[in-house]
Amino acid sequence: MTREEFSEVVLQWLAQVTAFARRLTASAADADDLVQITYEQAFRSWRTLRDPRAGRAWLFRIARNAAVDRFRRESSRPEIELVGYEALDVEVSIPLHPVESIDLEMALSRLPRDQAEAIVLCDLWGFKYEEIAAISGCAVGTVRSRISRGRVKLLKILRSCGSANAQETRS
Amino acid sequence: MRCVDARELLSAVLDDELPPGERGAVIEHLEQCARGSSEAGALRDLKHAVARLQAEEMPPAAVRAHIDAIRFARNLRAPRSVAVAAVAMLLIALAAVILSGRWHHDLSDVVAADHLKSNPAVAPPHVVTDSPAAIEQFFAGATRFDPTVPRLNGAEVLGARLCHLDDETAELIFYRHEGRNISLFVTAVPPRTAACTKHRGLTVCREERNGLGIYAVSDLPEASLRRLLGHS
Repeated sequence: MTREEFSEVVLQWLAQVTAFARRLTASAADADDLVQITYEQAFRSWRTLRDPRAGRAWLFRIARNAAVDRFRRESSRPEIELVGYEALDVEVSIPLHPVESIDLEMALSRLPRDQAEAIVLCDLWGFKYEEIAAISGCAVGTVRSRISRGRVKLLKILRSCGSANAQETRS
Repeated sequence: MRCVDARELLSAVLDDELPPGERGAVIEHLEQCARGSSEAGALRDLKHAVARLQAEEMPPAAVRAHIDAIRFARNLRAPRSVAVAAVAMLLIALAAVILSGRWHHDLSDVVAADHLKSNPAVAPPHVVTDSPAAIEQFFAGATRFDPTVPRLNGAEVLGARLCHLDDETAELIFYRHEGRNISLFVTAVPPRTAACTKHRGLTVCREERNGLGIYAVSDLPEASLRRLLGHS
């Protein structure tokens, strides 16, 4: 793969990398910085990308590592202790009514970061577990566990919010 | 398959990340488990809801411009690294040349000029004696090597003085042979090669002795000077 071919490969994912960067950082400005850093690093080590088909996961991994390195301490996104949600007596199996994006984003923000990350990588960007493992630097089994537990918690959070909203409506 | 086990695997089934056998077992269970089936439906709805979130977002123009700059900067970046390497190599080479020159600088012309200026008739010796031991005593502590007075077969020792060659304090010993003056310089830096050459109309023979540089200068013929130095 020539450098020009590499450019074509990585630039086609610019919009997705930007959206991912927005999720990894606390502000739009930080996200913009992260996108720049990601592409700087990508072009610096472009020869290490052997398979163009792996280009998107490769970029996401660079972005994630850069975010961990650069923005971890600055990030204002809270890590939520989910003990309270585990204890909620909410039935997961009842049908999920249409969810507003804003509610879903709120619920995702209340998940542990690694679970939320695995879920959006899987559902939003369609990565396979193996790719998510490579991006997040963990085992495939860990990804499976994060997604499974994360979804159940996400449902509980959405249900609890839905119950609260319904109670507010009734009162 | 137990219900609890099947529910653990629901997400992996939804994501098509289970081996066919395991997947079949889960689906078989769901066909006869209302709760499990309902939970699978809720998880599927959730997955679809997440998939509808914003997956793409174009960065601001400034970011795109920066990335374009990176993209097209390759011809600048590579030569810069090459240039740095080249400069480093040049400096190393330069240092080697300077150090090599310092260690092996040929002083033949310098000593020839100095012989003309330091001729005993023009510039008297610091010490006037025909005793090599007295001259060695005179040089003691003045040079960074042990004083030495080379013997020139058949030549008379007249005296000596200190001089500076290439920023080094050196010995200058005066001899006389067949009515001709001979200046013999002893330096801490040996010449690169031993040879006799002509400089300023004088014969200069240079050689290394015991790690020191010996330069003999005279208007004597080369053969005579070689004989005095003990060359066969």
